[in-house]
Amino acid sequence: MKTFRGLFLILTLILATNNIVGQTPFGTQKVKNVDNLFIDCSEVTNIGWMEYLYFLKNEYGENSPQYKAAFPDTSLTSYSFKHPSYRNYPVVGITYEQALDYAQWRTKAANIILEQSGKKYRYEYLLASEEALQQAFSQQKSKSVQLSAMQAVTSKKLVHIDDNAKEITSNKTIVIGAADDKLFFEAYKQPDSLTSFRCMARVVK
Amino acid sequence: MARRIRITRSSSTGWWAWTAGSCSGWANSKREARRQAREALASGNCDCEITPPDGGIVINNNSSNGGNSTVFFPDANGEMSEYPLSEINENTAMWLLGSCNYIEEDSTPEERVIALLKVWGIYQGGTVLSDILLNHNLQSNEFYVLASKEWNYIIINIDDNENISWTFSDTDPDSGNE
Repeated sequence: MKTFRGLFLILTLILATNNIVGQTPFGTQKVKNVDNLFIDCSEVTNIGWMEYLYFLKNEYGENSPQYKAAFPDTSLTSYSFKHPSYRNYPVVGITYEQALDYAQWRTKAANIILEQSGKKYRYEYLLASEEALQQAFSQQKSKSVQLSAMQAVTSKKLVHIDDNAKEITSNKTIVIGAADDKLFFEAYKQPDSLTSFRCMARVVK
Repeated sequence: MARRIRITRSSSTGWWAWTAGSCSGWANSKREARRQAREALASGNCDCEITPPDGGIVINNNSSNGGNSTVFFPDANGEMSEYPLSEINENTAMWLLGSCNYIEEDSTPEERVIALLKVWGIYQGGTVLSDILLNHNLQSNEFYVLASKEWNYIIINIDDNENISWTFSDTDPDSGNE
């Protein structure tokens, strides 16, 4: 009986772990009504970008073109990109190509964790599409707007889609923003201090 | 003070983020993150750095910063002066001293600038932005340069009527005079 109880507990834990963590890519929330589509709870943050830089530095070296090319345009930020106080702010000054490279790297980094924990599925991160952002916008709870990026990830709530910052989309020519509680799309020209981005993700079996 | 190691899970990738003093990094397991953090601490390169903003500041007046104090700070002549903590809260003092223990959210830009003006001995009152700007003849952009310590060199002139004028410069204004 005791063994049975122990086994039951272990099974429950495994099921719970797979349900909560396993099928939801890191940092994302399920996009409702769309099969196998997840979207970042918040924009990619400065600390998230620093994690990316850390990997590039370790893999290619501090003087490598890969590492140097990944830095945001800090002349566009009104704060220090690396200052601890701004680590949960959305990263800005990022080009479309840099955002694409980030998504590719994140796929690789997240799958290392899945691989070493013996998971059979993999995650694929991509730049959020206009459609995914639109869907996420409609499911975003208004009360979640006041959450910081880090709180959003912890609480698994979508935030900031309707704030005044714009977001790069998977369509290179379009950025998405919000005003008066409505989304708008405008042409993407170049990085600026008010444009960030987020990823969407899929689970690949 | 004990030096702390913090290990947290990256929300982006599931990797483990570590911080140790002023150093940080990421590893693919909690154990490895802890090992890296300990190694970083042992290297001695992660100590909290103290970098007072005393270089490159020229103040063309003689101010005195007397009082009962627990904060020590270089005055206009580059000598250490005492300043009462009752007038500068501890967190803002940490900012003045450039300590990594400073928490940005716990001090406002106004508090930081007031603290600077006080230790420089030129504070002329005001607690809200508009009053600080007016009382010290500061422009808004200059205020934020002070609040973020982003100056290279500052010349502060104070006339007999205690009117202040500011010159922010990228090059050492004294270098050509020697």
